Amino acid sequence: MPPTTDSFLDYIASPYVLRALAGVVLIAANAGVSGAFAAFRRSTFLVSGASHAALAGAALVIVLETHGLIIGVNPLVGAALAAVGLGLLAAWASNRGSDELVETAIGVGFAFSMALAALLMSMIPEAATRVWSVLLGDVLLLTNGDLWLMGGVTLAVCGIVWWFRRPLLFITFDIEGAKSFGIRAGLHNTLLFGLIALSCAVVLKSVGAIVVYAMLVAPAATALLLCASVRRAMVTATGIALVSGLVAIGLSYYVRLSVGALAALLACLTYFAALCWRATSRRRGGVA
Amino acid sequence: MTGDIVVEAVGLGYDYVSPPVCALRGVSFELRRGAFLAVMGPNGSGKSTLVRAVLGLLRPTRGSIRVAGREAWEYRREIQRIIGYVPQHDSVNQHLPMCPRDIVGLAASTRGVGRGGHGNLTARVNDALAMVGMADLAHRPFGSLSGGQQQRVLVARALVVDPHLLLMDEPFAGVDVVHRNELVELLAWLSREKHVTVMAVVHNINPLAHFVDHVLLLDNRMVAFGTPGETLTPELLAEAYGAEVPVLVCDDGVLHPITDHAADH
Ligand SMILES: Nc1ncnc2c1ncn2[C@@H]1O[C@H](COP(=O)(O)OP(=O)(O)OP(=O)(O)O)[C@@H](O)[C@H]1O
Ligand SMILES: [Mg+2]
Repeated sequence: MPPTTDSFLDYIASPYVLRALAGVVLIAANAGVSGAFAAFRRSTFLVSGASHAALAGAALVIVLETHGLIIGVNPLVGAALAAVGLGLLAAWASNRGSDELVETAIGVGFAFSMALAALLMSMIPEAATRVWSVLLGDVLLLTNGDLWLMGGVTLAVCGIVWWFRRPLLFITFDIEGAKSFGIRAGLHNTLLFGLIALSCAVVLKSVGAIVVYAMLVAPAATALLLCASVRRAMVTATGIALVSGLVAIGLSYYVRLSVGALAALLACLTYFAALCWRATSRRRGGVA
Repeated sequence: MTGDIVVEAVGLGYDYVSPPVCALRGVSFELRRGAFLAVMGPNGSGKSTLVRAVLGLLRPTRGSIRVAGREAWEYRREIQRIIGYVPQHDSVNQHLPMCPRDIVGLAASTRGVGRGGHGNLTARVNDALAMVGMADLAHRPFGSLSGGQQQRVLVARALVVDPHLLLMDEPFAGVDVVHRNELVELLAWLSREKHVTVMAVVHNINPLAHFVDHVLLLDNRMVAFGTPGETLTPELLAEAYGAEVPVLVCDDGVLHPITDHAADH
């Protein structure tokens, strides 16, 4: 836990706060890329599903480790595998062309993950506190190992989205049209779902499964209310997530609160503010 | 002169697997370069299915469909390069923050327009938008455009790749009379002057009746294929639609079935 006797600068310069700052930058990058595409595609339920699947994956690693069955595996690896598994399940449903099927597949995956996590926690009480910490998350408890993993995956997610930006945007705009342009819509759709799910796992340990949705989706949803171009929306989403995270870390010097929860709260408040702004400017007949 | 045939269907049929639906049966027709075809039929009669088959997105369960002399499914990558496609407008995402220029530009760059001496990409995008009268609204968010304006953007997206075959699924849905007539004239010009083969699914043929060379009547099977004079008869229309369809004859002697919005004409 952060000591509160140091000066503000000493606090910021302490290793765990520096790691938290790095974590916030990585979260913001994921919000600006995967969060934005999830919002563009209207598949934000995937984010809540994948983050809870990630929780179950992390819990499984923690439990196996407690039993001495595996050693030295970062729970984030389990989280990433489980999240991608759910992403692929959702992509399969999506490629069959039915939105209801996608909802159901994600919903069932979500419930299965939570049941599994709860079961594991009840079976192995020693591991329960560690699983709880993943459920709630704490950006101040990131280790160097976590950061390397998060950084590597974030770089991969951003790089892949950049490389495939045209087909990914095309299938997001219209699948039928994309197919007629020779784009392998199913393949790219699966890729996009997988990447969004990976981002959920990246953000998991910093903010906790419960608020991953807020950190990834709220900034992008806000950006969609304010921006008229894809690039601007992605930059704005990154900015909102970054500022929310930084302000939350700054505030954590003064008040002992969960930084992740505070950041998520700020991101959501920004969304509500943007909604109000839109509503009032529309009433005034504004909105370009 | 088989090299002149752009689309050739022979006993084409398609069944969907789940749920099992017999969508199309016994469709046979030929379109030569520069022909203008209107496809008509009631809801669920297999019009969109036919369009998907021409695009090579479906593998025919019976018969064959060839585009430019090649089996559409086997050679879909190749034949798609010469097709401009306008999807049914309700299938596109309204929430993506893109303007008409971005959307048409994305299509153009996906196809490699503007690379390797094919002319400047921006100029081509602007030309395509100007052709459908959307140049002034090129920077407005797509989602904020009216249904008819969105439809015209999708037509511009199909035109930007300089297609040999233009496939359109209900391109006039929601388009007002003035812009619809402009679009019809654009299509007629493309087919006559540019020798683009045009295949348009329509519910109301009257705005096109004077321009089309052929009409295909569908009702999950081919009811008729021929000139408007041969196909737009009360008997054949009743067979396709399963109900009496009144037909008027205009001063030019062209048949006008009253299938939809007759008052528009
Ligand atoms: N993916 C699908 N799976 C199963 N059946 C389908 C599928 N798509 C269409 N159908 C069925 O095939 C038949 C033909 O559908 P199609 O979409 O080609 O009709 P349409 O003539 O384009 O109709 P509309 O005028 O409503 O656009 C319909 O009975 C429809 O229910
Ligand atoms: Mg249709």
